[in-house]
Amino acid sequence: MLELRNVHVSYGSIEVLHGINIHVEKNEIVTIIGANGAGKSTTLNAISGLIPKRKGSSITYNGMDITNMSAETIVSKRLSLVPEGRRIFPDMTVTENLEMGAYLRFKDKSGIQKSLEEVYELFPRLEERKKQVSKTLSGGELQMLAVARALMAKPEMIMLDEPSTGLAPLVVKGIFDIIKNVRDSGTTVLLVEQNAKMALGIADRGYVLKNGQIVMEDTGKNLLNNDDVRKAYLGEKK
Amino acid sequence: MIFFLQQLVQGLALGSIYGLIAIGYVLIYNTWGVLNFAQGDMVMVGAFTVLVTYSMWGLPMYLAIPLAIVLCLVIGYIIELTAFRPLLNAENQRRLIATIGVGIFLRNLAQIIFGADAYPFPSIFGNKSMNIGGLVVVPQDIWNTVVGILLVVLLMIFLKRTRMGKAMRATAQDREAARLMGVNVRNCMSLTFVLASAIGGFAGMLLAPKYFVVATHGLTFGNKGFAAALLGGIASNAGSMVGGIILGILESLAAVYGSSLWQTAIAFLILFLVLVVKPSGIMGKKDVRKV
Repeated sequence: MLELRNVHVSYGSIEVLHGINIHVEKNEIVTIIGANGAGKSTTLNAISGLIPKRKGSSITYNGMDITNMSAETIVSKRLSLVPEGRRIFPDMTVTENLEMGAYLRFKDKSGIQKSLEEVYELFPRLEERKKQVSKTLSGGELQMLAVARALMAKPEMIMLDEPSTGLAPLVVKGIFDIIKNVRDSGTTVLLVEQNAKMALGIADRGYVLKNGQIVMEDTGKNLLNNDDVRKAYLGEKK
Repeated sequence: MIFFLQQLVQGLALGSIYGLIAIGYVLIYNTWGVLNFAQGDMVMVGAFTVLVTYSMWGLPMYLAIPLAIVLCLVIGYIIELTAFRPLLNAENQRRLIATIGVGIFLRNLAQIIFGADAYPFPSIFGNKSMNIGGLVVVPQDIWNTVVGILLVVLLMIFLKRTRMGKAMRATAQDREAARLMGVNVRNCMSLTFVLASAIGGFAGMLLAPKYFVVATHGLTFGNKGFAAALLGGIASNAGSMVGGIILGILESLAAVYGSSLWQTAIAFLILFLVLVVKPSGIMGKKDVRKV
């Protein structure tokens, strides 16, 4: 469904992704784990069109070449990103934020209404707060809103960048349950996480990213039991 | 009492124009993250465009004003393309200096073309004074108030209700997130800029009958608009109108109860007091952003 081939990304003269190959199949949950600065967020930003790729990189989505498409075009191909730090519009209400998620579906008024109801069913907490200005929400609610907003675009695949950051363990568990729900309802998931244990726990497959290179690729289960991974990313001693 | 009310009416009329100038600062500040010190000069440009279309080309008022507004949109777009867009990711100081440069450029360009003279301009809405219950008002004052406030209300409805308006708000609040929603951020920013330019220009057209048309307009009215915007809270649309009206009324009261010399000082006094006492303004948001 999504395939990255030989993706190079540079910030100025410094190359941060050195030719990455990743593929995600339909209805999978795939995770990319790695340390701070390994290039995880860069990878997602590159896919979503927010940052340019070097020559020779190739990204295809549903058979389309999206390598050089702009971010706003890529959303219209039904590939959505939940960015790092939620990036909710702070002075808009919860409902307004969700409507912004459906920005490109403006011709489908009844469809948007239906999606709103579905999203509120998935996140009853957001419905309680729907008229509230978003900057008054808690961290967990903001993350829910970020996921919900991305779902409003009816994506076939959703990419999540560090959804667990800054959240209490119980809230993180809630968010991960929702991610599983999202997949079960037919949306493919690409998940970037520092919380490797949680991520690998729900992922079908995982990649380990180190210094801008993929160093390992396996099923979530195998990676969880891999000694190197346990030592480097799960904080366990030998 | 009548005398006092008289001053209020005049202050209100002047203040709603200040509010219009102020909202131009606010729109551009929110979306571009920079104070546009050329906004006052757009007021001057607006006054000259209507002078050209009406007095020089001899068009009737109902054609002269729309055409002048279109000219302001075009000039605003040229400014955006040449002085704002190339510096979008530059440091704030450089951007700020660029806006000051644009102001100087416009002022001198106007002087080269039109000279340093002040041109008279006829009243758009008539200047035969009317007596309403003892209050002497000119139609121009009434219409300036109505049009000024109405325009700000319409703008706020546009931003709140329409798809385009929401996209502009989203762009102002988080450019990157707006792109991820599918918003064409580049167009939104351009639209905000030309809209702010046209509103500034329109304010200049409303001012023209009372204050003549002169190339240094921008300095005078730019400062007043800026003081009004800051008083209202530099990021608040409604606040800019409130700030403008307060400033207009204070000026008009100061002129008669103090001395007319005070009138020009009021704006600077307000600037000073707001910055010292309440930098976020009366309707401002708490969060502080660097200019």
